[in-house]
Amino acid sequence: MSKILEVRQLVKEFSKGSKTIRAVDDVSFDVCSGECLGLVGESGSGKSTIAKMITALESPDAGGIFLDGKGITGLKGREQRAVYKDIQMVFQTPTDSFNPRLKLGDGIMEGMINHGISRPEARKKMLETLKICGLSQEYADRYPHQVSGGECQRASIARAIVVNPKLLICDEATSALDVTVQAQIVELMRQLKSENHMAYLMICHDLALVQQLCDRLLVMYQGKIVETGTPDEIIMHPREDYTKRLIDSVF
Amino acid sequence: MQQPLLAFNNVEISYDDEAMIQGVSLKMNKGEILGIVGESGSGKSTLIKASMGLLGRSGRVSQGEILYQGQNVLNLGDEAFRNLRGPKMGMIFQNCGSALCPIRTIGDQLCEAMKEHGQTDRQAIKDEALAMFDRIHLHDGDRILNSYPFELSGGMNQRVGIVMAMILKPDLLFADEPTSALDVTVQAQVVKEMMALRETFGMSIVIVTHNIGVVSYMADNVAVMHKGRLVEYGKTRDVIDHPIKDYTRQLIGAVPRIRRG
Repeated sequence: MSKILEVRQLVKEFSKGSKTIRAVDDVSFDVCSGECLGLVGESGSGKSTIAKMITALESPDAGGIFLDGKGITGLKGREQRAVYKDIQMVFQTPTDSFNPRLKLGDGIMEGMINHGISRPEARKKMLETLKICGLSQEYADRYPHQVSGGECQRASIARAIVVNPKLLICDEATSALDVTVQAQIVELMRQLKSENHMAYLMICHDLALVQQLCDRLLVMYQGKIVETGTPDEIIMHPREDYTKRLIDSVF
Repeated sequence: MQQPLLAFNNVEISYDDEAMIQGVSLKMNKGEILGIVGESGSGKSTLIKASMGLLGRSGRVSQGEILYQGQNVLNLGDEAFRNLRGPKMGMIFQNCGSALCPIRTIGDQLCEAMKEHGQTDRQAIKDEALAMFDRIHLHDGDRILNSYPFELSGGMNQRVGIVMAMILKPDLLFADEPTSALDVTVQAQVVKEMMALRETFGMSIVIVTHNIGVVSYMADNVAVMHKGRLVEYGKTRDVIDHPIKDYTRQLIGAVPRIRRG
């Protein structure tokens, strides 16, 4: 398996008044193709800040992020756009992550068109991808508020995978959904994982869910990675006190 | 036979004259914890909103009765209902932050609520609040009491709301997704605190949640709602471990369970 994403000694600080908080503190990890890496930890532990730095929504204070061996921090313009075709993200609240005035189909096609794919071709690809994600053609012509949360999350997965990214980041992608809907989305993600060789970075606080989906886990606490291993190793034989506490808190 | 603390008799609730909830009958005794589970839109929150008289303008209980200690709360006057809500029946909302007044400090709001129901010693209120904050992992309680809601995180505001409902030690506590906005470690703490209140004060709790793990840990009885109807109701162990109805099986089957080896 080849390394898709390498994160090296990443640091991010936020200052609030005179106080400085190290949200991400010397974090390094890799994600390989076909692998699903889970990032768990409580709110404020720095999980989402890492995702934001990978997607260039925040800039790191120190350290590097490499996609296929190439540094991607601090890129601008055309170069940056080229990189971000390969990294896509699915957000927690699907309805908020679509433009409310665009039909779902147009929202899904936007990225492809920005990357120079012709409209008819983009439309064809969009319809195919909707089908893969379990939505029929008519959903392309609906607005985000006209579909349920689960359907909208399927559409946002379609939007993410339609450009064939190398890395898919899911930030709490199922936590706003009902359990029955969550089960369907998880099934879809598992199916996509077995069919193509995307690398996944799953940010999730539901340990039972990461145990089902992920190949490897990172446990974060106060900006640092405190434990790594396979989900079964970590859940059945946690080494750190924090990890034990996290696991004991699950009902 | 003991009179139930709370009883729903064949309750139908309508919004704009369209029945959203039909034929729900439940009853609970003092000291009991009842869990109501179901998907969003199944009507689980609507049931407890109806008991607290919070259905809003367009909603009403169109059939049946809701009895608190044998008294139909639907026929109560405003004043009588006010005396019941707070000291007798408390409620924790899903998003407590938005239930707090944005322009007054947490401490002032807490004291106001306590004064309304008889406790006037500010220092005593403060001490009690600080002790309770501490038990649910809010360690700088003094700062919180002097803060405005917007200065606190969502999880902190949620815990403030939880303390405000629990500090009056109501006989019956309605909790509408009380821990969905919290981290699992904090959730565990809040759940334990609720259980402790039942141990110490015999508080009865109706907990509405989609978290089946929390319900199976806390509740004595479980009611499963689906599309406005009660599909299954019984002892927690029976319903969770041996569900009879297809829908319950599907719902429970969809919950990922942690494997601990």
